[in-house]
This record gives sequence, C-alpha cells and structure tokens, in this order.
Amino acid sequence: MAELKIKGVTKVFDDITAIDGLNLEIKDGEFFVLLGPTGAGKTTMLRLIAGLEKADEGELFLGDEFINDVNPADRDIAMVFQYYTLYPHMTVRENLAFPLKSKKRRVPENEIAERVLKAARTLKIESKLDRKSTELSGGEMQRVGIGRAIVRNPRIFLMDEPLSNLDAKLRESMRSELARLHIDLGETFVYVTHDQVEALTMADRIGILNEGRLLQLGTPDDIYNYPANLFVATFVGSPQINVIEAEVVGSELNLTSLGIKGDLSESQHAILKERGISKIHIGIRPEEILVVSEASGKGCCTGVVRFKQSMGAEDILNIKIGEGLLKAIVSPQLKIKPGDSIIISVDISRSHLFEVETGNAIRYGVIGDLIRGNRRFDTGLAKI
Amino acid sequence: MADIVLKNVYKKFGDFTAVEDLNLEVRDKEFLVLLGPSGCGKTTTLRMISGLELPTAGSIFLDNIDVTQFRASKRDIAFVFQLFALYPHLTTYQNIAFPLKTQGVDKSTINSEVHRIAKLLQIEHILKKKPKQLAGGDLQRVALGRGLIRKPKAMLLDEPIGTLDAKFREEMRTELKELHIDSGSTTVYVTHDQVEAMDMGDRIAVMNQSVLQQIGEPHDVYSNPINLFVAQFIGSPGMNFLEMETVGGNGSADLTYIGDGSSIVLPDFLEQKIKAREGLAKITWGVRPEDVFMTSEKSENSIRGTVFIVENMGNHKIIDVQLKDGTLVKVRELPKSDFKIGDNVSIAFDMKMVRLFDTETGDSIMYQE
Repeated sequence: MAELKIKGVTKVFDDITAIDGLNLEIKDGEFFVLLGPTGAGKTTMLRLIAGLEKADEGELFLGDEFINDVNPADRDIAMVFQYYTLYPHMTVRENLAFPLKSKKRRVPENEIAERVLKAARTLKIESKLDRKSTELSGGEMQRVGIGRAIVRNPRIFLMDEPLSNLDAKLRESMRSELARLHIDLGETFVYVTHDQVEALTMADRIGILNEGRLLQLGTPDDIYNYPANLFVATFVGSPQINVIEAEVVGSELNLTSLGIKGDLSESQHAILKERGISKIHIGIRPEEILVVSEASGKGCCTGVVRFKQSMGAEDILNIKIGEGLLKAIVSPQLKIKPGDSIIISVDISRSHLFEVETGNAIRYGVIGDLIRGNRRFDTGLAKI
Repeated sequence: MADIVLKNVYKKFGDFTAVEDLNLEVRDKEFLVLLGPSGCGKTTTLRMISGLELPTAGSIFLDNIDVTQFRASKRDIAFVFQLFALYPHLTTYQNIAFPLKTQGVDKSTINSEVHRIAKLLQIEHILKKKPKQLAGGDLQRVALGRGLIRKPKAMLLDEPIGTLDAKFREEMRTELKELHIDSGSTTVYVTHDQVEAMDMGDRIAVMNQSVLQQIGEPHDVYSNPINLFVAQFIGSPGMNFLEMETVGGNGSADLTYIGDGSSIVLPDFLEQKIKAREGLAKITWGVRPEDVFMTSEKSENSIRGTVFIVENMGNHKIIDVQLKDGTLVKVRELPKSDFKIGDNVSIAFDMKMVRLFDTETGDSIMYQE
C-alpha cells in the first residue's frame, strides 16, 4: 500500500509532448482512474509510474521514496495489461506462482503456495488452478492476469485497459468484480481507460487527461455534475450532453437554433453581466430534457422525433428542432415513435454554461444548488 | 429493392455445425442486427449472405432470386465488408475514392464525396497518409469510409466499430443510424454488443450456439424474451434470475426462493401462468434491474440481502445486492440513492414486469408470439 505523488512530470517523444507538466496525488488505497481518448497520454503516464519510461522533467514519489531513478523491477509495482500475457504451457497455478519464482525475490515455496491459493480464492478461480491457461475463457484469463499482480503484494497496482479486450457482456460483469476486488484488497489502483462508463462505475476519483494535460480531477459525481469544461462535459456521460449555442439578451437566454427562449437565474444573469458575456454554449444532459403534454411558458418548443434508440430501461430520442438535433432520455412507457411531433421543456436556469472561446465552464450560484441529473427523476414520472 | 431471405440454411465445417436450420427474412430498407456471443454463427451467416461462404443445405434468396450457389461476385447487390482490405500503396483519400473511381464518377463529385465521408468519420487529417502509417482504429474508419461512399443497396457490416474508442463508438452508432435513414440501404449488422444492437437495430436477431433464438424489435426482445439466454444477453446489465420452487410441489402457485426460503405470494395473473403448466415445480424468476425496488426496512414479499457494490452511471446507479446464498441481484436506482456497501436491504419486485421461466428448459412460460 502506498500513495503516489506526481510533481511537474513532462515526457517528450521526438516533437510530441505526451505528458505536459502533470501534477497529481493519488491517495493510499484509492481506486484512481485516468480517463481520456486515444493519444491523451494516459498509457505513457502509467509507464512512467512503472519505470518503463523515464521522465524528462519532474519527480515521482511512491510513499516517501523518490523513484525516478529506481529500476522498474525494484519499484514494487504490479502492472496488468490489456492483453493477458499468460504462459500457455503452464497451469493457472504455475502462472500465478511465476512472478514469485525469480531468484531475486527468494520467496519460500510454502509461502508461494499460500499466496497463490489466497489470490485464487479472492478471484474465484480456485477450481481452475490445475487447468492449462489455454483452457480458460477470456474473463478467466484476465482474472489470472490480475492474480499474478496480487501474489506479488505490490505497493501499487497499475492497470492498462484490462477489460477492453473482453466481450461487452463480460466487461460489464468484470467491472463490478474489479470494483469489489479493490474494496476487498484495500490497495492503491491506478487504472487507465478510454471508456467513461468504466471510470464512472469503478473510480473513487477520476483524472481526465487530454493532450498530456489534466483537465479535471474529482469524484465521478463531481465530474458528471460539474464538468470543468466542454471537453469533460462531452467526454463523460452517455448519451453525450447536448451542446447548444446561445445568446444572452437581457435576463433571457436565446437558443436561436432551437427557437427556445428561457429565463436566466439571478446568479447566472449576474455572472454573465459582470463578465460582459453575450454569447455562450449551454450544455443540457439528455436526462434533463422533459417531454411535456402542452407548451406552458418559456423553455418549451416543438420538435419531431427523427429516430429512437431503444435501450431497454430507457429510450433515447433524437429530436429534430429547427436546425438543431437534441438527444433526450425518456421512459419507454411514453411509447414515443419516430415521426411523432412532441413538445419538450428545458430548464435554462439550471443548465451548464460554457465560454465560447475557451470552452471553460462558467460557474454560478452555490454549487450545492446545482445537484443535477436527479431533477427529472424527482417528478415521479417513472422509475427509469 | 433489396430483401434477403434465408430458408432452412445450414453451414457445417467438418463435424461442427456453425449455423443450424436458419430461417430469416431481412426486409427491404431494414436495419437488422445479428447479435450473439463469439462463436454463435453470426459471422458465418453474414458470410453466407455475401456469398463468401456457401450453405451446406438450404436456400438464400435476394430479391426473390435464388442465389444459393452464386459466389460473392455473382450476387447482384453491392456488399460491404469491414475487413481491413485497404490498398497499401494508396493514400486514405485514394482508398476511399476507389469505389467511385471504378464507377466512372467525375472528379469533382468524388472530391466532395470523399471530404463529406472523411468529415463524418473524423479522418480529414489523415487523407494523405497510407495505411501502414495508420493506427488500427483509423484503418477501420478508412475501411468504413470506403464502404459508405458507395451508397450500396445493401450493406453487410461485421463488427465495424468494435475496436474504436468507447466515445467514438457511441458517436458512430448515431452516425450509422443517420446514414441508414438517409441512404435506405438494407443493412445486416453483426455484433456481440447488445448496446449496439438495441441502439441501432430496427429488429434484432439473437443467435446462440448456431441457432436463431428470437427475432424482434429491440423493445420486444427486451420485454418479451423467449428464454433465459435472450433475457440475460439483452439489457445492460442483463436480467436478474432467482431460482424458485412452488410451495408444496405441483398445483400450488406461491413460490419459495430456494436460496434462503423467502416466500413470494403471487398475484393472480402470475399464478395462472404457473397453473397452466401442470407439473412445473422449479421456476426461474426473471426481473430487470429497473423493476426491482430496494428498501432498508423489511417488507412483505421481499428478499433480504446486503449491498455488495454500487456502480455510478452518471444519470443512474446500478447497485448489486448480495443475497444469503451469494446470488447477486442488480438494481437500478436514482443517482441520489445513498445506499452504501454493507447496508442490509430488502428487495421487492414490480410484479407486472416479472418474467417466469421453466428452470429445466430455460424457456419463458410468458412468451407471447
């Protein structure tokens, strides 16, 4: 168990800055997820922690130890990869024991047997210990891969997209297994993924990485409810948040492309006025759009359902409104069909606001007022 | 017009039956998804439709013409396969433009079409690069671009977006659906990912172990599954199953949860379903995560358990509740739900949404054709 400190770390490959002055503290026992698109620098960061790459600038500390110059083998870190690298001619037991057999470690045989059994129990693969690794399913192989990390009792676990190679269905069940494993082990996990669902569901905290820089750091709730900028807002959440250009006219907001006008809240109006902002982007999560039976007051407009994505527990409507297209999550019980004309309602006073030029969030009011994502579910429409 | 009919189609590779007695009709302009786990026969089915494989038995009709013995090149419909079959010496631009060039389309049309597709697939910045300079995800986008540019009457797609980033995959699902609406091409799409199937399919054909299990619209397959396999495979997460037995054996309809002896009193409509099946002693109780209710207090008709893990999905939470015998039940809750790991809870069910299955055969006793 150990905490990890990353101080001003930079890594440059030829002319590409993969990691750009990164500062990050990962707490002892935390499940930390580095989330970002391909090429964001997340795998590079993991390799820097493991010692497989050397930082050009900055310092890395594991616990109190300065580890920049420590060999990978001496860092006491275990890494789990996307592709399970098991020895095909060995049994599960031999594969699990393998990391402990090196001469350098000198782990006594009876302790090896004990650790292997304990890891196998934790991962529920006891019954497979004498199988060859080629006889295992994908999920079992990945469990053995994780088991090989567990037996080493490392100070920290690094995981590089360990689930991305699995079938969708298996990935789903492995997610909750991994999250529970983390709680049972109580160890520090640093987990890299491009899949925001994995990040939201498993992480204690998420760091969003893009182009080598950390864009936001926070709990899954923070990141989802208070995205720091447009990149984070659109990267996290499925289906993606709706982003609409809007004009500030007095105390109103005009969503020209949709033909919607709505009242700004006092605090929204105050901050926009103070900063002299007349054009913004607003973000509305699909679950925050309400389908209503009649247009009442501001914030309403009529649209036509272009197509519907039936997800089972919920329907995602793609609604054509004027020039724009909005996504809304609704209950399947509403039985809305493609081609239907519907009225939607948007609560401008509670939407996310972003600067047009920088994409940075414009914070307003007391953050506590802004608990979102719940609003439409509070209306008792349907439990979806 | 482009409709595709498969009649009693078999495909055997040596002793292995890859596809068994398949009857399938793909309607004109339809987006049909062939869904199933690895090795279920979905790709083999697609290859037989294309003519890359010939059936061992049975017939295939395209627009009412029997094409069973026609090789791919003889089949009168343009097919698109998402293999990485790019020309290595051509740039991305030239690869995408290739199908139009062979059709003799004029240069300015080709140019505008290539840019339209490249913009759609977000590959404008690699138009001048050759395949060997590209990463896997980009190769797949280029291959997809070359398929899409032809605006074919029928498209066959084999896991075209499986290797892409999660976020881009989501965008592509919407784009492919949009494209399908615009082009009206009959589309057969193979995937193991039920989210893709639910999201894009006009209808879904679920396959398992070489056999077609069920075909229907996404919501129908979701709410009216024919058997345990379909119920579990469709939905994210899939349906929860609890093993029950009828109290006192045959005839009586109230149920006991085998895991801990909890009793469930059934409403009339469920009781009748069970009574209609004489001699049914073991029943699998199927319920979707959104149809399970959690409370801290004990309640009637409920089963006790402990919160095992909480998954935050942003706009909802999935809570795994562990029952006495270790069975995990997934419950969909509001984002504000504050149940924590280790909490003792009761779970109850929306009886209207419960699906019952014969434990022995796995078949639903509530399936409606």
